[in-house]
Amino acid sequence: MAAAGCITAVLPEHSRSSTDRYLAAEEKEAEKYMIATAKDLQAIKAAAHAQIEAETSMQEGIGMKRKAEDLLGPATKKHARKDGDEPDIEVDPDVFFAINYEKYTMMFRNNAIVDYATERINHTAGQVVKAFLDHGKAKMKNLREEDSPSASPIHIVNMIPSEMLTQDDIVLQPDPLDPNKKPGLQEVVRAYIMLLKTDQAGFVKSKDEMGANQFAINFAKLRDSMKRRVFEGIIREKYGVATCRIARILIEKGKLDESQVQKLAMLPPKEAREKLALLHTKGIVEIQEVPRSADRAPARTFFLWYVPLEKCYQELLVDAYRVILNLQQRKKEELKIRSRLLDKLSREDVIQNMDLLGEADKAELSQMQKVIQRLETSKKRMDDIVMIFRDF
Amino acid sequence: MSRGGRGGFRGGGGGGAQSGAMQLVSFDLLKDLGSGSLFNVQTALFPEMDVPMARKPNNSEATQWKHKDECIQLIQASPFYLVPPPPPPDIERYSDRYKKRKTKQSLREIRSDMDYFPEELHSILDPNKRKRRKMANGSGDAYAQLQALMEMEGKDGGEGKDDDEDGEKKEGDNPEEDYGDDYEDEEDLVDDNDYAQNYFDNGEGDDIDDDDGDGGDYF
Repeated sequence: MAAAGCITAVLPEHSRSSTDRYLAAEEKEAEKYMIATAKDLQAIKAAAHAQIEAETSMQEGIGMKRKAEDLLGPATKKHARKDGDEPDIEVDPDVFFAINYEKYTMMFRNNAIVDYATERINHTAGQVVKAFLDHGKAKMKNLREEDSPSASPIHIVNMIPSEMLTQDDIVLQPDPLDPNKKPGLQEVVRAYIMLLKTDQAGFVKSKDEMGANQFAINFAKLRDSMKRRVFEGIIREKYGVATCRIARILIEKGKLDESQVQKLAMLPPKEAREKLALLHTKGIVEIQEVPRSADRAPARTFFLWYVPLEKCYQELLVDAYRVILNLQQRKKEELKIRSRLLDKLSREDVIQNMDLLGEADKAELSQMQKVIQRLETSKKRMDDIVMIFRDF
Repeated sequence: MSRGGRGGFRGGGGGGAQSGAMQLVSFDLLKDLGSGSLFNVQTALFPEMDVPMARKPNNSEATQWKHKDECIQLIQASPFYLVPPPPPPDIERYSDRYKKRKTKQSLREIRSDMDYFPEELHSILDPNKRKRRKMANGSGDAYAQLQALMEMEGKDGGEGKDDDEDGEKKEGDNPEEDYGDDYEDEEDLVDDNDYAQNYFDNGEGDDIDDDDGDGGDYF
């Protein structure tokens, strides 16, 4: 697990505050100078920064030593012993480890991306995206990256089981020489990658820097697409299809006048006005006034409607937190009204023999478990939304 | 079903906002009566709402909840999860014998390196270094404090200053075994219960004679 980066080593340096460390490094650097000019001070600061960065980035391999000889040495972890192929890294037993939450968030994020691809295109496309992400898994350290490590189609072909690709999910140009030949694996994969590239959600983009026809998953664009998808979904659920249409037009086109909105959305003018006003009260659209004359008379100004996306996303995030709060409160309340039952359940004789509870108690117990499961599942779904908006 | 008509108890007052006679009715009965009995007035805060039902959890979500549940149990069983101790039992009950609380691993038994804790806590964590803690606290006499300071400076050079600061700031970082000493100190300080004796007249002296009860007690 340590080799996979799921847990990281904790050093005593982590317990000291980073500002302290930085100041100490600065002092060390400053000792070299007798009298420091302004430029020297800046140089000191930069050098101290660089030193701290180097220290933190060196911590990847800490806590593990390369094994000298025998693979079946006594100090290996039990898990590794069960596998046949053992890595030649051993864990230093004196070092403390902590869970590396970023790595897990990355795994969740990758799963969310694969689900999105599957939903939008088809199952095989999801597998292609998954292969991309698996390929670069070891090298993804940072959540904020723009692109995943790049891969070429040949790598992808190696990673996907071949039965999946011969499912004829994708329609390709038939080979001019032999129209009945099934497309080869490489062509199918290449076609899928092209499809992913041209898709509006921007899954894949080409990185031709090394000239070897490499592709990478485009996280930056994906972030936007996923947030937008959730946002539009919520508007559609709450306010109806027509209102959602208006919102999408405004997001894509920018700032529009009311009559333009009405034309593009294909709604009668009164309805367009009502829906715009509704969105305005909910804070999803805002007005930008463009005065025509020097005095800002309302009769002679343009009023342009637009969607402030970042603000809306923040609002959505706060709303998601509120929902989770409500769910948690409801769960607490449900547990509170069943406190007598919970007391009974925590007794030792009941834990060993569930039949001591009466019929009504058992029914109540199963009802409670069902309720708690529903609440927790809803919380988990809201948490996925929070992940997309906050940690992605 | 009681869920149907009004918006259910989701946004509402539930247990807290019951009106007078309702407090005696148990929650189960309320569920059967439906929420019409609490929400007779349609206000802007609780409008009629059609709350949509969520989809049922699919398989992966069900397994995820099971794992999360196990995680929560693990955390609650770990020594890091602190719960207040139960109140002392008033009378002996039959079910006491089935309600034994499992003793958890205490925090002291976890192996940890002193390097990971800030220096101020070292004297607290390591019982060997405890003796210097209470030096600066004891005597209110300035001269005695000075004497103590000089002694400590004589004992161990520069370290004396650190330990004085240690002794003075013993606020939140107390471990479990020092908690008892502090608690006692606080109780000793609050010995001046004369306020209750002086000013709280329980109405005893009212009927008899006004001068007698309250005569010399107001300082």
